[in-house]
Amino acid sequence: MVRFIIRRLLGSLGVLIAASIVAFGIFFLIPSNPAVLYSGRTSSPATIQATKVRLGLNDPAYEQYYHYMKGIVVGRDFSSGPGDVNHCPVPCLGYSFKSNEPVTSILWSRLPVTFSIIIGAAVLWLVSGVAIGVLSALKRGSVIDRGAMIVALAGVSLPVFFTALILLKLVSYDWKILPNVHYVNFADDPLNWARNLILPWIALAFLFSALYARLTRATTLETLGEDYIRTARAKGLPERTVIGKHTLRAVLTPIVTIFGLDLAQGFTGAILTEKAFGFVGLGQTAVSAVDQSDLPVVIGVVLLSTFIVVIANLIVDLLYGVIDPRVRLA
Amino acid sequence: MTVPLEATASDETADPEAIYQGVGAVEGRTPWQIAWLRLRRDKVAIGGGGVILLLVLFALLAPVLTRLEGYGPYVFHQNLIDPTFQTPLGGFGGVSSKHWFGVEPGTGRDMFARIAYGAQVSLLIAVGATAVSVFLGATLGTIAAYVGGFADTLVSRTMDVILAFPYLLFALALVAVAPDFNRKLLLILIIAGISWPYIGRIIRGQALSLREREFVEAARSMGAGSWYIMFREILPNLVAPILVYSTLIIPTNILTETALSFLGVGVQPPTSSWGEMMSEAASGYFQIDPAYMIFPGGAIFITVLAFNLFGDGLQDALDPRSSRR
Repeated sequence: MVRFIIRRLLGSLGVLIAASIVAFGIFFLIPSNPAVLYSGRTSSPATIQATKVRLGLNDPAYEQYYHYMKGIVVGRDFSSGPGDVNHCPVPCLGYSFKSNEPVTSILWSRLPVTFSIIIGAAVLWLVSGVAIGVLSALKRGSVIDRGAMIVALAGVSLPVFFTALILLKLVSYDWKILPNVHYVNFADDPLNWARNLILPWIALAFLFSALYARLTRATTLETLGEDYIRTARAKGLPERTVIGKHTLRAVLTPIVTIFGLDLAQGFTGAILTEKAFGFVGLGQTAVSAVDQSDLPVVIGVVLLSTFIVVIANLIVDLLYGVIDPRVRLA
Repeated sequence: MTVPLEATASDETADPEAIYQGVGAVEGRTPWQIAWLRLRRDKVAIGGGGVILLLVLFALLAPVLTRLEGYGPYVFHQNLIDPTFQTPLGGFGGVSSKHWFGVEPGTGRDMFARIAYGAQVSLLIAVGATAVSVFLGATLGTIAAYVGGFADTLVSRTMDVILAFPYLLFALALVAVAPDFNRKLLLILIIAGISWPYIGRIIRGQALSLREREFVEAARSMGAGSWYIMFREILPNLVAPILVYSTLIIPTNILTETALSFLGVGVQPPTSSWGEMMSEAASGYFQIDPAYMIFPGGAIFITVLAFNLFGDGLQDALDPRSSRR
């Protein structure tokens, strides 16, 4: 198990380094002028030169990358000469071109929004998807099965933002069941936090729930045909044990694999959900940073979200090793 | 879509009998003919295919259709807009015999024309991206499987990394640094860049097993080179999965394109796109003028659904045993 964990950790580290190189590389591949962006278009050449020195933009790309990565791990000093040193504490992601705020603190304030959406939605889609899938498989061919599968098919074809807008229009605006949806901090008012997040959770979970229901249904049907299920029934185990223990364990294995892969997709979905509901999370931060050519913020969001997805994948991987011991040996 | 399992099973058993009863002499059928027969019987898939055909016609004939209706996609009609609320006059987004899908709130531009030209954009980008990603996925997947070793590790790891990325943010970042690049081409390349691993993985898996087959050995013993074996012996055997997965990847690509437009990094205005209309609707209009989100949203839904139905049916017909996600 220890070897398995170490191997996974190294793999994740590799992915993170690759991501950082790609994210960083994007900004050197295509000609753009960060110093001009930073100091404003009307600045004098001297100011621009000073900015370049200050941000280290005259260094070769690999050195800039090294400084950037070093900044994340041990912090970084920006300096345009003696007496003017600005220390950027760990983890340093630089400063926003627009507001001059540290990127780290911008991200830190927006992260909970995106995180809240994705965590709740993930729980919802896992539980509802697996439950609907198993139920459909058990009641195969029934009205429930057909109905669920038709809704699931519609679900995989609906864009997240369309579901979100329909929900907002009907539930919030027309029926006034959950009026005035806006983000509330969990720490301020947990009940209100959940109440306002119900619609975003449903909107994001719908798509994945549909996918999981279809997959679970197929795997359950396959598993129910296995010999060991017949044996379990033949030796007189109650149906509840046969389904709840023997079948479900086999069904959960592929679901967990896919769950790991879907976290990245879920992140993408959360960004769209944020925008549809007008929450200001990481996605909105990235979009407005793109609009304003605020490169440090864009890089920061990309790195942070990759980091989260990689860590989440790592956890899922380790969990997977627990559920299915064969994986560890592979 | 889902043909119930028992139907597919009975189809296969019924097939040989049908051959004997249908015609006097025994006729050979190619696998393609058998697949076509199976597909033809799948009404849902054929329905999906029909809708796809109509959508392609709708997109191609957009200039003709808008001329037929009489209003271009860029013409403002301020006289059709309520000056206080900025919403279209008349019920359901101003739908009338003159403006079939109503008009856009704020500007009064004709929605039918904008939806039709939006179909052009979405289909062009999705199909273009699919073509590039199929090319990349099939080539790299085959090479990885056949050559093995370092090439395999490199391609496989790259695919894993791409699949684990929150790609929308990378797309945003790319658009941020290349604002002046041809946007449609950039979108095609970005979407292809994130979708090729889906094809690549499947092709690699299939090519791995084909590599060990006798006909490959035979070709090698007759002195065929690696390139010849990869692209003339192995790849032609993978046409069926390639076809299936390109059909299934088109709807995903359409969703990605609309998502990027929704976030404001799609094609540039005034070119209309479905995602951009949804984004405008999301900024507030959808509450007072729901038609403005229902037309583009419905267009996306119908298009994606049609491709999903057809792709699922195609998979059942060509590759009945494969598990489908």
